[in-house]
Amino acid sequence: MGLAKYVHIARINFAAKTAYIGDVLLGSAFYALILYIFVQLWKVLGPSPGVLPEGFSQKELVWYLAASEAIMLGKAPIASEVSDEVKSGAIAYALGRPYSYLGFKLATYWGDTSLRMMVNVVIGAAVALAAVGAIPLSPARLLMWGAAVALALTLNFFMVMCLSLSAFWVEDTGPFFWIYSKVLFVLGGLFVPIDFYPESLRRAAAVSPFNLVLYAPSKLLVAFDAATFGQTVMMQLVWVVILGALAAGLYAMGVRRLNVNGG
Amino acid sequence: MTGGLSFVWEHFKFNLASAMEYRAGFISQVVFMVLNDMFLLFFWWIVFGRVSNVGGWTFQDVVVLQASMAVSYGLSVSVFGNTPRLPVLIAEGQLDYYMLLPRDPLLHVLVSRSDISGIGDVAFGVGVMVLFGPDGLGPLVVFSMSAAAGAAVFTSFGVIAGSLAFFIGHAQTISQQLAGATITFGGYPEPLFRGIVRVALYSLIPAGFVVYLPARLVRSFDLGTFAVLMAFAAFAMAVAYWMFRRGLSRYESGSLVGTRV
Repeated sequence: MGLAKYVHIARINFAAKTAYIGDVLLGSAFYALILYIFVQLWKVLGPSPGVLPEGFSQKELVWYLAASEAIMLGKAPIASEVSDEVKSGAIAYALGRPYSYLGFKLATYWGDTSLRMMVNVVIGAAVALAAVGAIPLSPARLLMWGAAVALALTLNFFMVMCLSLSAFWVEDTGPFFWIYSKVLFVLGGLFVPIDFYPESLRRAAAVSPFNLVLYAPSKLLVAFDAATFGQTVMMQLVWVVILGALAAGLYAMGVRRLNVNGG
Repeated sequence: MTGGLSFVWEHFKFNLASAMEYRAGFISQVVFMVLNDMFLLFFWWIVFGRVSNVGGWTFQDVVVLQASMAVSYGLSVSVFGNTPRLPVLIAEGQLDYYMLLPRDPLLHVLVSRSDISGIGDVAFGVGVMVLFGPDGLGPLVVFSMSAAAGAAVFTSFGVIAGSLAFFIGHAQTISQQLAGATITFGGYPEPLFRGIVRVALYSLIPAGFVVYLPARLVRSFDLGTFAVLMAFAAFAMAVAYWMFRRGLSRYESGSLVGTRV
């Protein structure tokens, strides 16, 4: 019963978002445009000797980018909503309701994210197939990749929640999200796998949790091996637990400071 | 002409002064935009660590490309900051205020708002051009003139797309998509795109005139190319003005009651 209400919340949010499927599809047009540009870029760069790092062909790079951009553009934007609820005091309405605020937000996030990801996966696969052809995939491998992506998106949720809940203490959380998006861009390996980076930067990216959001699941799609999968999922789970506990702690501390004026 | 320029300048100064009332917010918007643009160079820094050129373009050419895009876009949104909101203002019947005043309504609408982060884009573009662009004053002068023309083209296409709202009702999405496509394509070297896409980049999506021609002129100046750029900027402005005036005759006022302070 406890979990059922959150599944129900996610389903309601998913249904609500399908009412605006046109907006989701237009957002995906940008995703297709980015993929097209990168296909052109790697067509030009691919044949140059020494450009591609070991383990990546031109085809795999395009599929990598399809996966990393699908995650980047597929995650629902909840940051400003949560920050505004904290700043305006609207979060107080959640206190008397029979659900956990974090659980409620996670469910609504997944309702929106799952629709975006479905559309992105279809568009990304279509563009990548048309541009460079298929990569070897089996249903089992796809299922495991899906699990890593689901954990990556959940990890992103808790990172964003920790930053959003800091609105209990700081007035403007906007810069935090700006920095987070740039850190994902660089340490997450959004446009190029971190294997491309100079050694010191690659090592920094590899130990950060940000690579678990984009790089690790995207690389699993193009270069799957069971050991890497196990290690990735294990690290994702560890970070989900750490950041989930941190978000819960921030929420518990924050609501004790809550002042609501008027009604 | 001089009256128009002075009108634009006075509005810009006023918008700037009002933004600087919130000094910390102003500084953070500008600084964050400069940093944001620098992150875009990160990708190219990685790529050019492995190759010497991309379709014949060197790292310096790509820096000029990014600088052109940043300055053209920055000038457009900081001086003519209402351009992206034009379709909403038309659809919601909010043009009445501008039509009652003696100034040209289109120019007045466009300059009534400034996106201050655009100043960060301009600062980034000029900064990287001085630091990493070609040596000498000549390229800097060509860069400034062609980026100004690029800003005129970018703004004009924004007005043309926004004015569609007079005819089709809601034009915000098409307006956003056009600006987004111009910025996205404009961030990558021209040789990546061939055939029909290249044609589109010099027609439907004006990235060719906003970024590629200015970057080409800075690489090697050619009077003919420069004349084409300037002529196209003048043509785009004329079409934008004509389109807006044409649409204005179909404009219906809204019943929205609001205050302007």
